[in-house]
Amino acid sequence: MSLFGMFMAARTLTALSRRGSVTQNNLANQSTQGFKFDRIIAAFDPASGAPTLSRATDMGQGALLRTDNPFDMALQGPGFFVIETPNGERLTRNGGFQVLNGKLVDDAQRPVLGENGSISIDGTDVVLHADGTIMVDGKYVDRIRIVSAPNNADLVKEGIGLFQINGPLGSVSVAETQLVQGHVEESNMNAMAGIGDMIDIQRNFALTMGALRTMDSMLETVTNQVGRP
Amino acid sequence: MNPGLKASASGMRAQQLRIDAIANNLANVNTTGFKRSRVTFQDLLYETLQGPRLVNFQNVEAMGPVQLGRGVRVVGNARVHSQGALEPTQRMTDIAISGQGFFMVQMPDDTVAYTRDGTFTIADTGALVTQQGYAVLGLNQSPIIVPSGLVGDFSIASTGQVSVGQNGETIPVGEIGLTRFMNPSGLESLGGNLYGRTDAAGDGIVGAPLESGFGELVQGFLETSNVEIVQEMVDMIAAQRAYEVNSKAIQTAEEMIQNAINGLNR
Repeated sequence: MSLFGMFMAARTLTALSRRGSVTQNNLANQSTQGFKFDRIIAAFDPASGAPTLSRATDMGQGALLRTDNPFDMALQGPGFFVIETPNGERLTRNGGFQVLNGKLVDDAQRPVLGENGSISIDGTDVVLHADGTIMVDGKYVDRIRIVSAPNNADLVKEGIGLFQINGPLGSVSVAETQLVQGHVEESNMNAMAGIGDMIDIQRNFALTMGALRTMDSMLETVTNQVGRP
Repeated sequence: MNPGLKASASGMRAQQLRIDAIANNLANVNTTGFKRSRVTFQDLLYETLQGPRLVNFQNVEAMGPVQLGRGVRVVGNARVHSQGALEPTQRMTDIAISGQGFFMVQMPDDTVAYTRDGTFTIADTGALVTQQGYAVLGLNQSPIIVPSGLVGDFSIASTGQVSVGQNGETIPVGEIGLTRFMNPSGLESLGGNLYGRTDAAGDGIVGAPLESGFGELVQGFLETSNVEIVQEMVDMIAAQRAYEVNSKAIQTAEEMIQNAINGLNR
């Protein structure tokens, strides 16, 4: 009897506990605008025989919530807004924007980028078109940059609503993605599914612990009983 | 320690703040000119346990990085400046704004505050004042004063002209001005239905009612709060359920930890 089974059980327990933590973070963000929930995927690794983990962010559309704020923008369809940060360009689905010192910024006061860099808004009547065109007092100002991430695995969550991308950017057409003014996109996390996952994880955890206990008692028998007269 | 526990705790705290904002909205359901507020959330930083990688190079099967999130925080409390319903009051010095804009009010320290509450009266000095006694400013940034000795029908046109009718004559006494902001959600609440200007709100643009972009004045009416009880109740139920779900997640994670501890106990 080797300890292989026990190591396997331990790795499964670690994987389940990670899944639990990710689900708890999803549930904590069920009211965060532009939030996309994460999944931990366990796959069989033939090399070690134990589960190997990867994460996928579910980019499913969130519901649009009407806010009546002219600078709240939601994307209906795939794609991201581009935000300028001190560490470079970052992507976000959170379109809760505002204007600070004449520039369009996000809720952490970082510039939102258009086709020609940061966007100056000087006027009072701001109208956005579905393709991202910004009209201020009837005059064309710029077009909001909307990009896509062709490969989900390239996305790294940075927090504060931002994604970093380690790969090529794609473009989106107005046919697939429309910008909706005066709305924000709600979180795509479903609380019921999340709590179901938590219970599932907990049951699996208890089951694996049971297996671990059985292996432990077998090992105890082997070490203490076998070979006794 | 399980980072999920802190994430769930932050979720409970954020939902608590959301309930507080809803309670404040509900408390002001009958406050003239009140604008409801909405709490906004952001996710916290992520811990990357394992970076992105390629599993099978030939088929280029990439795997996303394994990241653990740390929960949520409240970033803002944005006011929703949608129009409230207009309610008749029969008082000739009550004025509602139908459309965009704020009345300008002179504060005791000579700064200008802004309000949508048009419950005005004429003070004994003849000035048009708010309920707190602050003078309402005209288009020319000075108080509107009804000269003493002038008695008659006080009227306010939809374009802001204030006049008093006496002996069949209409005597103009001033013109009410409005200010509008590019981003009214950025205004700071000063209490007493007053707002203060901030950089986030942008520079105010002063103009007369019914000028382009400005709303019209309606005499004898007040703007009611834009809080809708049903909407707030639904939000409250949603917030309460979200709170419960986070609490349940803590409980479930705690059972896992307990199981792990007891399982190794002999």
